[in-house]
Amino acid sequence: MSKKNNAPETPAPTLALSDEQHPDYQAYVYGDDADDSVAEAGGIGPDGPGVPIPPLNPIPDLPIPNIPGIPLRICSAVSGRYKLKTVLPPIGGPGIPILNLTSITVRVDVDRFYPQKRISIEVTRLLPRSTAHLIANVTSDQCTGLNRRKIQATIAYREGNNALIPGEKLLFEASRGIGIGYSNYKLTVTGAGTPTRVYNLDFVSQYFDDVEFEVDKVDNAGNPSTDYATHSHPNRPASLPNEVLSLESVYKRAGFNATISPNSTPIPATGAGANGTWSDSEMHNAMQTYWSRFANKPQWALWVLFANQHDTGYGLGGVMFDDIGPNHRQGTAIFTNSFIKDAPVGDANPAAWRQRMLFWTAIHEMGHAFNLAHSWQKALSGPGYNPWIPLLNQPEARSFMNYPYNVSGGQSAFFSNFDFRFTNEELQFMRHAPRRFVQMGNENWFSNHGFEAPQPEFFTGRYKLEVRPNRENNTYSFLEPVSIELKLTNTSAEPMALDEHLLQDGGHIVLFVQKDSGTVRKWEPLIVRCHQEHKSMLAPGESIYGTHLVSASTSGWLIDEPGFYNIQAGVDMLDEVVMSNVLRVFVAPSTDKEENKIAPDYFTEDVSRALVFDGAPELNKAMDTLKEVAEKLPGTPASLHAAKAVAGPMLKQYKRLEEKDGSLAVVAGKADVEEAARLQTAALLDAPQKAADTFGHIDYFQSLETLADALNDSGKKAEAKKVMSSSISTMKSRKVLSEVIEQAEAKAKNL
Amino acid sequence: MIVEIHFQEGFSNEKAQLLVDGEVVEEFFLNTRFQLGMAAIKKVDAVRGTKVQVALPDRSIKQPVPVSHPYVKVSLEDGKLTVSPTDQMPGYV
Repeated sequence: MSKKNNAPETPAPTLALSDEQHPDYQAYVYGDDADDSVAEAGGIGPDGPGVPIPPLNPIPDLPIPNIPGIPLRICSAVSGRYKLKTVLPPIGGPGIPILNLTSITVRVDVDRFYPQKRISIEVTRLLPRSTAHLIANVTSDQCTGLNRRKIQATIAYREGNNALIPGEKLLFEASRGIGIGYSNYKLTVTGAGTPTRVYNLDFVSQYFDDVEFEVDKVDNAGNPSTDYATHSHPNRPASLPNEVLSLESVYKRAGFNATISPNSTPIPATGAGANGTWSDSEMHNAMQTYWSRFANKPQWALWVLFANQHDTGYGLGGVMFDDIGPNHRQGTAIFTNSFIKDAPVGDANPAAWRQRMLFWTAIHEMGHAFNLAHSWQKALSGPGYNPWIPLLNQPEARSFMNYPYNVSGGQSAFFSNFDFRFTNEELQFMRHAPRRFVQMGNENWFSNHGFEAPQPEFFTGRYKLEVRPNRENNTYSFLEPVSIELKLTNTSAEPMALDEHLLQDGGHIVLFVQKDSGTVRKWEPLIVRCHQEHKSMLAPGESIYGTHLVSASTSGWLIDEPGFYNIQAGVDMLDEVVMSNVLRVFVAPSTDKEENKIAPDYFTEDVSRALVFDGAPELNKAMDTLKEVAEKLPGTPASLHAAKAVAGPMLKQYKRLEEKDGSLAVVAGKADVEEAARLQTAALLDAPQKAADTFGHIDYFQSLETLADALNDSGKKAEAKKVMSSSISTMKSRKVLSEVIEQAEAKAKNL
Repeated sequence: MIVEIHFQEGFSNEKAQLLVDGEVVEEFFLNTRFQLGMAAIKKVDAVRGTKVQVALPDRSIKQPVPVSHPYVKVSLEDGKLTVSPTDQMPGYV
């Protein structure tokens, strides 16, 4: 029997067409003084008529002959992401930010794949916290010479704090420096009644954002391929290039630097429970267990699961299941045992049809994770779900986000002119909407889609925030951890309700450290405490306090080398950000050869953790280093911190997670209160003023209380009383608040 | 014959009833899940001649459901129920 109606022979597809080989890729524009108009965004979109961008023949590789008298007007592509050029800001005085807390990201979208003729700008100011986002429509795009490009645009969309970047018109300029390629990028913002602002930019990437996909497969889902050869099925647009598409290539053309995580994990079918099919909840659990990047936070990362079947049954081909929990849109699933494998009876190439449908479904579900709605739902609005800008439904769109079988003529009509792309409206959203609307784990599913009203800023002067060392001078010795105290005072005439942990829990404060004329670095606490909010009333003039070791951050040591450092903090109080003074501290040079010898082992992440956690027995090397500091540098402030950390775990039955007979068990170690007390008494009480200076009041007096409790619990009541007595005496000499002294006295009395 | 009733677009916390021969056999709430375009699938075992209806009591809407096809798609559009019988199993992604 003849098989002539089966899949026609087609040339083997190129694995992946390079950008320049693809007919939809615009690599160059040519200058033409007579016409600087701008073609319709995206060329002929799959959703309706548009003005096509004339196809451009690629120019040959440089060098280009310079013909005298004929100026070359050829400009290579400029689309991509730019950021504000890095310039060190001047040091500010008290109350003035010590750094330029403003970052600017510019996304230029005028060429490469499916240009949308838009420029969008994202401005983020950290303190006082504020953001702005704008999108401008390109009105003119001129190539005035060899790689000299001028693009004008009019702002059409704004969100957030307009004052961060006022104006109405944009001019983006890219030009050559010494070489052939672009090296200077400049953005000028102008507007009636607003001063002209010029921003020098650095090119970051040809993509608008980076995103990582992790693809996992359940062991009974078959071995689905995540590629599709575009000519493998005969029903296709005549102009469709012959190539193999992948998940990455589709999203790269949508503007994202998409990569596949190497951390793919085979998932046992048992995760689906006794019924063998997956519920959304089971998939969410699997995501938490198997996705190497799972975190309940916004990130440009997505988990893609290939599974056998959903609880809903054969009729569900895939789902963006993650609309539960605090961070939506982080996970999608495709079901291989579902209707998407049912090629129509008599189809010319059922295997290719199935692969196309599987590939299409994967891209579709991933599109939901980018917060894209179905094509026929674009205009849907209601409480909590609105389109981000007014949109029209596009039930006939040839988009990844439409159902192929629901268009006029059904799936056959859909795929006959489907170009394996998103619509222009979808691309505008993905590339230019405020990033929280698009980023996975950020804005809730289907919400924004619409946008919130701009957050008003409040500068009420109700509070004063102070950063202080709580010691007479701001000089620290080499290796001495810098602890600072934060004090927030109610400066209003009214009592204020405040979370009493605001300054201490690490979740509400922002802190920056800058070494003189060096980079400003953000401090991230090594401990963030999650607790139930407990508000108490703060009377006018009253204060709350917190203390933090700011030398070390999750990103490493911020204060290590000798020199001057500036420290400034802000506290996020939801309706207001309060900024502190700038504290300037000095780290003295080393006076001891031994200090320099130990320093490389000391300034490590593990040592910082051991210091902050008051000891960490599992970090053996760090603990050894601290023992060395305590023994070899006696009397130095660093040795006091080291001794306290070395002794900390001995004060109690320290619990460790240990492997026993192939499984993990929590094992409580033996306390050695006597040895701990010997070390800590020496560190904290031999020279109490010096110790209180280096630890700061809060940490110092809390440590003495902990020591007294441990002594008391182990039957050494007299020694415990002695510790508290010394503590009270030091408090009085340092004029600590009377209520704190009273509490300490009460405690001593009850021992 | 088992008839699958697919409640699809337009439902937002909508109280619904399934009636067979005038009797309410199931009462439930419908919410369209946007990422699927589907709110719920209900199955009715109906022989030819059985009278099946869906109702939205809060809107005083009652609509007959044909049992001539194995699948029936039901959506709420502009305050009205649209009912579309089909032989093709509705698929969702």
